[in-house]
Amino acid sequence: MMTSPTPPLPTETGVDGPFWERARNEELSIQYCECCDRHTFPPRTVCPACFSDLSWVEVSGDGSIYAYGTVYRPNRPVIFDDRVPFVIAVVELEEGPRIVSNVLSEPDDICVGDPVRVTFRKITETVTLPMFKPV
Amino acid sequence: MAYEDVAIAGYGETDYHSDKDEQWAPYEYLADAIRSALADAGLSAEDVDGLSVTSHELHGENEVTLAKHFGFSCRWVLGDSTGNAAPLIGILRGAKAIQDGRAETVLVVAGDTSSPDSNMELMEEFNTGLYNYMRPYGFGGANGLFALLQSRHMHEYGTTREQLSNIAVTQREHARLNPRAIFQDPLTKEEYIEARPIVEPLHLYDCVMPCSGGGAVVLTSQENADALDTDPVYIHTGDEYHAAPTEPFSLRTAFAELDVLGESIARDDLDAFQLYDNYPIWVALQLEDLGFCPKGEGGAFVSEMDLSFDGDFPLNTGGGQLSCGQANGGGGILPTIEAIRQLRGEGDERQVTGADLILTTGPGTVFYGDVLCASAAVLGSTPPKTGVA
Repeated sequence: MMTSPTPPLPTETGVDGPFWERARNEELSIQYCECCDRHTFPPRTVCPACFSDLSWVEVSGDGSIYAYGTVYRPNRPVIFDDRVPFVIAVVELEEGPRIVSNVLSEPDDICVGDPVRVTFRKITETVTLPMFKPV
Repeated sequence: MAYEDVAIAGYGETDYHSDKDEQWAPYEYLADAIRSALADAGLSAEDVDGLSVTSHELHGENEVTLAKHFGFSCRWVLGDSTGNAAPLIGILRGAKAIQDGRAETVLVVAGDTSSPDSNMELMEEFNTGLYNYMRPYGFGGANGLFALLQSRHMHEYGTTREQLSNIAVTQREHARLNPRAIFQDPLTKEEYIEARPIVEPLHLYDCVMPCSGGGAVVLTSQENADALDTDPVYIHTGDEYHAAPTEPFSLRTAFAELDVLGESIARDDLDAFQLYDNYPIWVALQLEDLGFCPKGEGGAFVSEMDLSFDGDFPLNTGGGQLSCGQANGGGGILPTIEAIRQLRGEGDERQVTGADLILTTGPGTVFYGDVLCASAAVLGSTPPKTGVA
C-alpha cells in the first residue's frame, strides 16, 4: 500500500486559529493593536509592545519583497523536490509586518523591493497557504 | 559583570564524526567530553555540584535527568532553552554561582549527534515560529533563515559573496592546522564562489556540516584552581541578552544589546576572536553589532582584515564550525574551547602569539526571522583586575 507523503503542515497553536481559518477562505488577516496602531505578525496572544489584546483584521494583501532566497535544498524534499529551485521570501506587507512565504515566480525575474500581491494555494482540505505573486 | 575569584580549570573536546557508521550515542559524546575536562583540571566527578547541559538530540532528557544519569548531585543547574548560546551562558552564570557560594565546581557540557538530515528535522520542529510560519514554505532549515538575512544585507548594504569569502577561506587554512577539524582540504576563493547553491545566496561553503561531537569546560573557585596542577583561564567580562525588541528579519541582532567590553577592555586589547560561525553572514553581523565596524560594513571589514591566526584580526583559529563541523549543541561551546586553548598556549601550529585576551560569542535559538539569544565574553590568561582599570 502506498502512503501519500505528508506535506509540512502548520499546527494551530490556539492563538493563530483565525489566521488559518481565514486563509482557507482566501483572506489574509493578521493582528492589530488599537493602542499602538500597529499590526503584528506572527500571531500572538497580546501586543508585544503594550500587552493589550489584539484584533484580527483583513489586510490588503499588497506588499514588497524585503528579502528572498532560491531554495535548492528544501526541507521535506518529498513535497518540494519537484518545485526546486523555488523562491522563499520575506514579504513586507503594506501594513508593516514581515511574512515569510513563497513568491510564485522564476528566481531570476524578481528583485528585492518588487511589489507583490497575495494569492492562495490550497494544500489540503484544512490548510491553505498564502503565497505571493509579482504585481 | 565582574568575574573575580573564579577560574576555568579544564576543558575537553571529543573527536567530530560526520560518518553515521562512526557515530556514538549522544550520551557518549557528553561523557567523553566530561571525562576529558575533569582529567584536564585534575578534578573528579564527585567534585561537581553544578551542571549546565546543551544537547538537542537527547529526547526525553534534560539537565536534571542527565545530572542523575551521570551521578552529579547539583546545587545549580542550567538547560538549553537559549539554544547554542547555552554553553557560554552556562559558563557565565556558573561562574556567578561559584562566586555566590551556590556551587563550588561547575561543569558545562555541550554535545550531540547530528547529520544534515537530522539537523533539517530539528530546525523544522525547533519552535512554533519556525514550524508554522517558515517550514510549510520549504524554507530549507537554518539555511533558509540565514539566506534571507544575507539577501537583505546584500540589498541594503551592497555586501558581496566575494567579501564574505575571506571568512570561509581563512578558517579553512586554520582547520588544516587542527587535526580534529572535519574539513582538511584547502578551499580557494574560486571554489567558495562557484560551489553549488543551497539556498541562494548561500552556497555550499557558507553552510556548516552538521556532525556529532561535544565539548566540556569545568569551572571552580580561584582558591581551588590554585591548588590544582592545571593552567587556569579567566573570565574578564560577559553578557547575555534575549528576545530583543526588533522586527523579524531585522539586521540588528541581539548582540547590539550586549555590553561585552565593559569599562576596562579596549577593542585593541583583544588578541583573537572566536565568533560563532554557523554562516559567514552571521559573523559579519556579530562584528557590526559588537562595534568592530559600522552597521552594514561587516562584509567590507572581513574582506579587508587579515583573519589569519597570525594576522591583524585572528578569527576562529581552529577553523570554526564552518570547517570543524557543527556538533549540534557542541557547536555552541566550540568557540569558547578554542579561546581557552589559545590562552593556554596550546594552539600548536595555529597559536596566536602572545594571546592574552580573547572574545568569544554564543548566539542561540533560531526563531521566526530571528536569533533570540546573544551572549559574549572576554576570556583572559590572567585573572581580571578587580575594580575599574
